[in-house]
Amino acid sequence: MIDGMQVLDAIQARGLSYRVEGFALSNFNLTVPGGAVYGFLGPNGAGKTTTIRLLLGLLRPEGGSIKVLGRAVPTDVVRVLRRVGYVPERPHLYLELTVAESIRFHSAFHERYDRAGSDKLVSRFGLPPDRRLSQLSKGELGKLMILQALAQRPDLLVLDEPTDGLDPVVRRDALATILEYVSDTGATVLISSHLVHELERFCDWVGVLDQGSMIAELPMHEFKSGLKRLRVSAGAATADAPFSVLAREAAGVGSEVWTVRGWEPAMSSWFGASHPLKEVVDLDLEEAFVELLRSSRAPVREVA
Amino acid sequence: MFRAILRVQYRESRLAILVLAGIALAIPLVAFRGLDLRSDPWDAFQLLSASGKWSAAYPLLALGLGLVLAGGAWAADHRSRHVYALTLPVARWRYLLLRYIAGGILLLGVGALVYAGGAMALSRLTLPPLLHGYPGGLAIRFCLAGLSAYTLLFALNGITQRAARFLVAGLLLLVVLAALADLLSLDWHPLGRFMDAVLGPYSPLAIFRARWMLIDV
Amino acid sequence: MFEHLNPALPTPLYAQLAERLRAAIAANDLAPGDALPSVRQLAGRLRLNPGTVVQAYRDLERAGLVELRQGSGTYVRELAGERRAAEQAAVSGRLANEMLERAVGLGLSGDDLLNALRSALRGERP
Repeated sequence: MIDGMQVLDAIQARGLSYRVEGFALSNFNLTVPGGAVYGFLGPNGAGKTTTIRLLLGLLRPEGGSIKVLGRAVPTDVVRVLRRVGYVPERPHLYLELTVAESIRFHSAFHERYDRAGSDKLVSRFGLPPDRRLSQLSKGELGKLMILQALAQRPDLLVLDEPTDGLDPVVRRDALATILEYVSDTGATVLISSHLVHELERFCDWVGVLDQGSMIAELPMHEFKSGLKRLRVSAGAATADAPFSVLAREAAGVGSEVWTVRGWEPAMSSWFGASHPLKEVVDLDLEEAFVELLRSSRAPVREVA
Repeated sequence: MFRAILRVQYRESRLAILVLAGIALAIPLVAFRGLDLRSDPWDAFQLLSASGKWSAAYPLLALGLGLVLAGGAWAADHRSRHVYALTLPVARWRYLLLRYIAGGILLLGVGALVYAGGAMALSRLTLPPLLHGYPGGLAIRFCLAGLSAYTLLFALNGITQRAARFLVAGLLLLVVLAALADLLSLDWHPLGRFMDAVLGPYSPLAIFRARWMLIDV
Repeated sequence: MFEHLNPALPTPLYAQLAERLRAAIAANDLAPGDALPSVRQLAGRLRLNPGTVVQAYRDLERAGLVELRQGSGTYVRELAGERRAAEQAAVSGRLANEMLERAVGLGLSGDDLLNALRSALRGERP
């Protein structure tokens, strides 16, 4: 968000509905602010890939509206795709071509394709230009897909589990290149992953999908700061708490640990002298994610 | 954009195209070899007979080429489940049209080789009176037959799974009805009628039944 | 200098990064006139959101430790002697506060921590 300037949302989905065997979206909303690095989280099978396919016009929704970079999808999808770089979960390029041929083909369809930058990345990633894509390793193929998407100079990058199955060195390389591009251009990124801890470092927005609905969508620091574990003395009532209690567990003699959502530091005054607040513990993104999923799937759990 | 698609399509079926093109070029050269031509009336008979013997090869070649090019146009997309093509910034119909035209151009290229082969072979022969060479006619027939086969197979290759199921079901139904009609001794021959329509005089595929003689009267 | 930036800690990443840089400047590891890595380079190298790096650099600029030169980069400023000493003191102070907070969280007292620190300085191992 640039101070004082209204920035267009990069992606806006409203009231989306879609049904396929084993999965349903109903009245689904998603907003990716312009310039954000948006982490799209969810367990495997939650429907992240299907949602992304809907957003890019690969699937037709049964109801609702989608706007990407200000234009309607699927009505205006060709104009949209000119400015979107897409890296899907499974390799989608023509595997019979060599690295050089694939790049040549891709650049023929994208006006803004940066050949010089592309060549630099080819040597930086160590991709042999005359090797067929079918003979590349999974990591090399992944890097090529990212390379081609970036060389397009897109305004929006959509990455569906881009680092899944890649070894750590390749992962770092890939993420570093993507973040350099974002620094240079201020492009928006939508990155879906079930590897939550990896996204923690660089996403500034988070959207959590579970069983076909969005259970949380907010800036990263709010997400993390709002979810806490509180160590309190046993027996405190939770009835009129200013935060929501997701779970409470006994923790040693006379203590309980509450997992809460919507915490703010000022709320420590709510704890009176009779049942003092002993400690506030932070959750990392992975723990916060797990707690959020648990609480959205089941009512408050009480462990005696 | 078009050049990129042409390049990719050629690459996909490069080997098969080159083999078929080689055969197309070679047939007329092989057909008239070893003929003992002495500039007497017997020559005409020999030339016509040789031409006729090899004429069946051309429609087969045209069909084969149509098959290869139609398959080649769709293979890469079928393999990648169309995701790549659908995420390129080009309208679906336009992409398909470019693919179709690319295959058509490759076909015409081989047609040109048919002409070249025929013309080359004829340049080495002295034709007796009353006989003429038709390298152009042969090449045109080849291109038309090839294009008809290619168009039909291109369309078939592109239909959705659902539509494919309908088509197969329809054909099976036709076969079943024909068998029933035969069994019940009805004066109705649906399969025959269907084949007549497909290969009959008003169908584009009729060209496959034409005369394919390089040398004719 | 930049290892172990930990997103799991309560301190935001930009603050952790800024702290490292302040300590380096105070210790003269980053000397006056030295250029800090570009936002692009650092964001890529550390796999951080570029906004995080920008915020850290702005913090340092506000604290008077660096200057952002348009089109050129970010450079460490000259620090007067007392200023440098004050910075080092501030870094130590923040480190001490952090340790104290953690100690209290573990149920230890300030004196416990002080004694442990003294033995450590004497080279005694726990």
